[in-house]
Amino acid sequence: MKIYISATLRKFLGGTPQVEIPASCIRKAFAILLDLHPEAQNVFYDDNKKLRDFIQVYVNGKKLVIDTLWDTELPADTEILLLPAIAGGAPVEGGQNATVESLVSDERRKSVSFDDSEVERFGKHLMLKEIGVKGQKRIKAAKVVVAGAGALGSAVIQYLAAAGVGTIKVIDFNEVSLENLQSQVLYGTRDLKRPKVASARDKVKNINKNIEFIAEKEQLDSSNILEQIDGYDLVVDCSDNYKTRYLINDVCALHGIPVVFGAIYQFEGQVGIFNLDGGPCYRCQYPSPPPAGLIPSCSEGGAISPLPGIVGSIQANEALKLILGIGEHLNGKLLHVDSLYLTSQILKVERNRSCPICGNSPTITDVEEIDYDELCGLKTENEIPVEGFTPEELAKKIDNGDPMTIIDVREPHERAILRFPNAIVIPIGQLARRQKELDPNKDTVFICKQGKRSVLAINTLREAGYAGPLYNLKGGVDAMKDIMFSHEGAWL
Amino acid sequence: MINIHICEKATERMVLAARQAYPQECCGILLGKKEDSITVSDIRKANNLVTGAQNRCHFEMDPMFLYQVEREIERSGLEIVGFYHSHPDCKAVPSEQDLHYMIPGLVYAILSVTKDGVADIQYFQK
Repeated sequence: MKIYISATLRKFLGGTPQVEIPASCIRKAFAILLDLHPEAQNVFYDDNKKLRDFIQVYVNGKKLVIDTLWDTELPADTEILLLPAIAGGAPVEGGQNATVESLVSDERRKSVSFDDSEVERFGKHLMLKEIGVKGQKRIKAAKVVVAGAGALGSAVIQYLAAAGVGTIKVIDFNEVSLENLQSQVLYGTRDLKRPKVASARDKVKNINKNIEFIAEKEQLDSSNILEQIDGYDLVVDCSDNYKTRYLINDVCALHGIPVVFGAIYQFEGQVGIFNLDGGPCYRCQYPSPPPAGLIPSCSEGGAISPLPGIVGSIQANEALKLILGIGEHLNGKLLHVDSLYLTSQILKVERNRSCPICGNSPTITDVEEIDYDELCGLKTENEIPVEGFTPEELAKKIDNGDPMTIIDVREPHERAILRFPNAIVIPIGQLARRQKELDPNKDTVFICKQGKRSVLAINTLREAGYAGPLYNLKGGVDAMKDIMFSHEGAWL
Repeated sequence: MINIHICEKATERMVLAARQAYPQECCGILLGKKEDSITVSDIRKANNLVTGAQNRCHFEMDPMFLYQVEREIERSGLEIVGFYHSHPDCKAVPSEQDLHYMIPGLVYAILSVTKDGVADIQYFQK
């Protein structure tokens, strides 16, 4: 490929404006170029081996979105432009965290009063010089939305209520189920099948009946989210899926409401603060969600019981610090906790100047313009739709002895919970390579836990050029659990 | 210390650009020669790509514009020696973001501009 090097970068790369590099992709071309000019290594890459922000790569005149084209094979006549990004900005006085301002104004604090029981109840807060009477009044005046009353929400809701937050709104559309009780400590056996927000209300009222608790049994979408969070000081994101996470981030970024974000996966958790005082938003760090089905959600991937308690407690603690305006908080940072090896790191999150929502030229101005299903890959409109069988249909085919190949793409530990008999096990990553193990003259049915990764598997195989008939088990093995076969016990 | 000489014409044009853009940030390219010392003999105004309220405190130049200017001046004997931008109602000191995007070896002119005009011009190099 031909690489044109901007005059501004030329002196690091031998001074020639144009070089011809025999490489099939940009990553390899860069490696060859930097091998020739090792002194340019530090100019191009930072200490973490990440391409520096001021290096911009244009492929045939179009700006490269790094992660997408970096390893793509490109034809030999491709022209690459290596240009600098010229950007900057006026200094912000003091920078982030220099003054931590409370989210609750002095007027609102002054409008709040305590009775004797509250002085006793919050005694341990009043003792702290960082909180005291003024701080406790701020907590009481604060209005917080908790989005999601699952495992993270359980910790957040209880601690915010116990700490004395005056107005708490909880949004969740689910009912309590048995599998929730492993980590959602807000609920007990008696709450089974009850709406989570109703049980949450009982718990909160039991902690402190003076709290104004607003229960919203509603699924958040782009048409209702704004009215749900409008007028609140802070949103604590306790959702368990990318769609809601991006929706919350976007609406809060557009309306200047800070978000305390939390997420868990197996043994690891993350906490961060977004959209505070011109700081970064969630999209600055994660411009787009991973392809649907690639990263299992908590309900698919599992999580150790106390983990959401740890992460949720940190979220509640950050929320209180923002309300109080004390300490140093996670604005522009992401805390990563690994509960298996007891390690933690704080990562820096930079505001992304090309962020579509909070960047220099935002392209998103209203969440109603965005199709969040499409963003999160939950829609397959533009692709060939994946055909599938319902559990009943598949059971019937199995009962009839129809010829077919069943491919299980689940992880080994998932298969250990529930084995799917007569299935061939092929991890998604090996599918393209092992496609000859499939018989294109027979139906091939893909199964996973919830029927999402199997769709990804089918699309992968199609992209790799496999032409035989492919079907998905709708709802996955989970949906298959209750199916009875005519020759009972022979299958599942 | 950078050994730098700025021609009057270049300074005048930068000052005018900063005043015209106020209260928004302006930006552009410094053209000149780089030998033992750096001479800035002309400037080329660029559009600030930042839109909305953010363009009072941020700027971004289209890299393709830079590419065009590079190709144009190829045989003129001039070269790109650096960039300028303004800080409306702010000191002429590089912000954290300015430092982040500075290319080593190039000159960065920062103009402090208020409603009354340009108060200060400073030159920086990384």
